[in-house]
Amino acid sequence: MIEAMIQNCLKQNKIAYQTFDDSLTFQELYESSLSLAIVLNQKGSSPVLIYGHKQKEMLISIFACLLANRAYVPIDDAWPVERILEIMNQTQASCLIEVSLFPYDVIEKISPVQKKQNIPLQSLHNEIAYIIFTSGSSGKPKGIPITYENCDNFSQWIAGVFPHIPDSILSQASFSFDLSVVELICCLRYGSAIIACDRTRLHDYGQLFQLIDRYQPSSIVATPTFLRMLLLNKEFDSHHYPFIDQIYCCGEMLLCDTALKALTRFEDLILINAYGPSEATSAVSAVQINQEMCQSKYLPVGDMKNLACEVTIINDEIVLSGKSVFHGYLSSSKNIDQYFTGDLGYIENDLLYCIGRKDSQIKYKGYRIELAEIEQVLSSVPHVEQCAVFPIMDSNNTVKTIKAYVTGDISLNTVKEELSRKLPAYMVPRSIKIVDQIPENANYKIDRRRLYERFKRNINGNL
Amino acid sequence: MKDLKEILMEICEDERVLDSSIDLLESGILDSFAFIELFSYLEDEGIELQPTRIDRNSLRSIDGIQKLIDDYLKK
Repeated sequence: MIEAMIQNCLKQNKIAYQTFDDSLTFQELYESSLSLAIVLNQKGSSPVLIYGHKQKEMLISIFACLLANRAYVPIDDAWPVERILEIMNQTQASCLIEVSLFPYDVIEKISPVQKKQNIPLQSLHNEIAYIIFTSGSSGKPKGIPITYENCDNFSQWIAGVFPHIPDSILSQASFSFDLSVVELICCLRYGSAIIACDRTRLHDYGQLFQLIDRYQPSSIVATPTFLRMLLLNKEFDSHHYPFIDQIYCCGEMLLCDTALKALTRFEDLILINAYGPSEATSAVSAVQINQEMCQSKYLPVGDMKNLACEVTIINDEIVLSGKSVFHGYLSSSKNIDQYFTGDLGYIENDLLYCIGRKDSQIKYKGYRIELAEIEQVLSSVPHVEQCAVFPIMDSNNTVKTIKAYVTGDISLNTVKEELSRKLPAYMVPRSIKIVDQIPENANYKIDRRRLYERFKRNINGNL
Repeated sequence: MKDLKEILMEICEDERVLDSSIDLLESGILDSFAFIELFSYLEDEGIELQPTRIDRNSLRSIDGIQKLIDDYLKK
């Protein structure tokens, strides 16, 4: 796989990575990555943290780690330092590539920009390509190591998911979110240019469309929420954006009305709905959505004739095995052959459907969140006695926000500050209520339903 | 159409909406989700605002959003 990536970089005579005001050609990418890889190669074999956001040096650093055969751990610079320290501890990483400024002296920091050297790369023994961290119900983030073999299998499969390899891809996801593995592979192995949308542009509608207008991506890799946001622009259609011909959605449930809107606005659009947990390398199934499918309650998430690994349904749960599936969590010695996803699904007419979760894991803005992790962190705040965290759904059964109830002699600001120190912003409940008592049912488990009803009543009472 | 405050309370589920000193964008109250919900709601009510042509500063307060709606209705 790495050799194919090198050959791709050497033969492409175009831009590999484009931000609004900066760019990188494939040739520059290869040269810069090689220089950095030589430095990494001399500094041991443990995982390497890459700290940054969507700068071009992120791509250089990721490719450098792959070339140097060092597992990379993408860390978004918006994450709180406590989470980063926890990840450092779990991965035993010895160094951090400082794409964004990392103002702590707790680890050796390496600049992504290195001088050219003529030293050959040594091959190291390491099977892990990257480690992605996801929310863990124990209260700590959970590391998912993905091997070169997993990646290679994914990269062969993804090439067949797109009817044609995208010339350029609008990339919305942070590199710490493995939706971005799609554009990384398409870029490094198949020559697609990445057009990177950073968080400032993501939150500023005008700037987002300036980026699209200027660089004209032929494809978009996005969460369904991001697609919904793009569709708010009434002119987001094939007349105004004729260069867009493929949209790939993954990370959360794509709703029929979103898909139908996209297909109506863009006549010949190839709209791909994909599915897969991080444990099975970004995605394992995909299917092209047509207007007829949008008439049903749920959209399919995969074509059973074109899967990245084996997919079966056991007691209504989607179960994965085969080359895309990881071998076990970082902090666990348990070896995994069959991965039970916790996703409820079924197969009909050779199409795979995923319709929800067995547990309290939720998808919020494409991020996977264990409500139990938020509860664990909340309970660890001094003076918090009890807490309950629950999602608020909209009429489409999509999580629109997360709420929390807390008891204890503590101020709201302290709770918010403590949570923000330990959790990424998307995991901090927007509304936190300090209450006298959290209703409990007979089993002493938190009665989420009663809480939610009380919450609704309170809201209504305030109006 | 319902009162804008009421609409935003339903969408954002956050009482801070009622506090006129709070910046809806900086505080994260009007996040991407709320943004989608608000524009979809207004569209259903026949108020078809074009988000690419809106000054971002208008979205910082209820008064700013109300003005966008009023300007649209005047046209």
